[in-house]
Amino acid sequence: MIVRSIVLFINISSLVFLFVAAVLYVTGGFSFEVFKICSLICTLTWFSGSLVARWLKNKRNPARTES
Amino acid sequence: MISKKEKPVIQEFEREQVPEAKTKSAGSFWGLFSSEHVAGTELLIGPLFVVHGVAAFDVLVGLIAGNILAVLSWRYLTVPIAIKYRLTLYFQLEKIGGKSLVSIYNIANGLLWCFLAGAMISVSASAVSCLFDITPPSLDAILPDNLFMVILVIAVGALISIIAARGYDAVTRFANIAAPWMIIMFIVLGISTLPDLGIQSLKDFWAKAEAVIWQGHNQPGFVKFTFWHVLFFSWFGNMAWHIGMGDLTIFRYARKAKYGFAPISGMFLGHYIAWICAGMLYAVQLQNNPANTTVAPGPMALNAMGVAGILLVFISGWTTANPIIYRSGLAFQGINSNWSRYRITLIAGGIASVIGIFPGLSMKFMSFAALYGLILMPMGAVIFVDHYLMKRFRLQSFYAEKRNISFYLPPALAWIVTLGTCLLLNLYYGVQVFFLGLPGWFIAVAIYLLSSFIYQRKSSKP
Repeated sequence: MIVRSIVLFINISSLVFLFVAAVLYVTGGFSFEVFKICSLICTLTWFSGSLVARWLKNKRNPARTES
Repeated sequence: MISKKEKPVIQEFEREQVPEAKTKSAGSFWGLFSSEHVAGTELLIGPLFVVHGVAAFDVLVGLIAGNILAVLSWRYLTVPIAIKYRLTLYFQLEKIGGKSLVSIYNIANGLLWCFLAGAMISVSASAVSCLFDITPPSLDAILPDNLFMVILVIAVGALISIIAARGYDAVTRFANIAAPWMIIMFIVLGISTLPDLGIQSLKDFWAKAEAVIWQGHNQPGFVKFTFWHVLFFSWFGNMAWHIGMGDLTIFRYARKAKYGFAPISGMFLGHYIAWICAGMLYAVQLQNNPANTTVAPGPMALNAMGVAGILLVFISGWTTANPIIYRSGLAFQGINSNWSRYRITLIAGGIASVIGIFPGLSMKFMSFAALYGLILMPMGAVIFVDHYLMKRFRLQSFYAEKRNISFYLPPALAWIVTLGTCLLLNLYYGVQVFFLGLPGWFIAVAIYLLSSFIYQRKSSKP
């Protein structure tokens, strides 16, 4: 449960950071190259985190996965 | 633990009312609409508004007005009927017009879905094309002009079709995961264009919106869009689902009528923010090279956000093409339930892939979207009349079911005559396809009512 909460927190943070990275790029805090790398890292974090969170949920309650 | 062989049967209530206990909460509708209407095609529509020479005020205000009208159409036309009967569109139509009429409707619906899926496949393929340095088709291209692009579209289409044919549970789960990311990505995509467009503050936005993004100059061969074009396009872009009653199938699960406001999420995230952001992306492309007028979402997103942009284009096209091919397969299978769903979905995907190789579909996508709604709309008008007006005119509703007939002529007449009249209005009076939905609906209502009156009076005579 705690692991899943941590994964979900990282996951949601990745979307927040994606937005923050865009704002920083627009305001000159990030270069275009840094912005591109950040957006890719956030994307990969979001998908891997979501899949891991789902996997942890299914592992805890396997019956629900089949319904 | 439940093994795969003991997998519980999911009750879809295809030929019965959804029981009160199986209705869903408001949250599921808000989530569903926000994910369904932030799709790959938004990356075509946003730029096409710029291509059609819309002005900044017209697009920013016209979209608000059109989207509000679309939400009201769902809330006050579709939802009251959906929660009164709690039936699928197909079963309700079968009760009104008979099984044969539904079969014809299924063919039309299945084919139109193939066109829609074709556009989404071409969006996904445009993302993959960035990896191979393939020149995207020009804005005026109708036929494919690049063999590699054809191979790429077919390959992407085949991949999507095979996944759809194998059952789309896994992709639906993936699409649900992707939905929040896609919404944020569309917004980020728009924000990332601000430095290129020279927008430093909120104050700059309006001036740049008028002078750089939506300049009001249409490209050759594309109709000039006004406020009314934008309003009617955003209202009727989803006509098949609200006025055409396609979403009866979804809203039959709604506990309360007020859930009919849930499309606000899809309309304002997908059909407002995403369209505006995609339009800004295209404006950057034009600013960098005014001769590069092609609408190719993949290269545009690559320039704005790098690899993450390509992933957005590919995933948004794929996750929306997939269920559409699946639904298209189901629509064709509705003609003969003995046909293999696997094979029929592959065939539907094959048709969509072949359609997707024609760049003309993507470049003229707005006209297609308007035509798609128009073709399916008359059946929605028929359902509306059957629910609200038949008793007032002392006519029988659900006529085919009550008389046990497989084909009731008046709905078919309403469909054919409405489309024929709309074609005449278009060809001889120059009424553009974007404006045909409203008069078409009234024509369909009048014809169904009149022909039902004549037909039922004639049939009741001894």
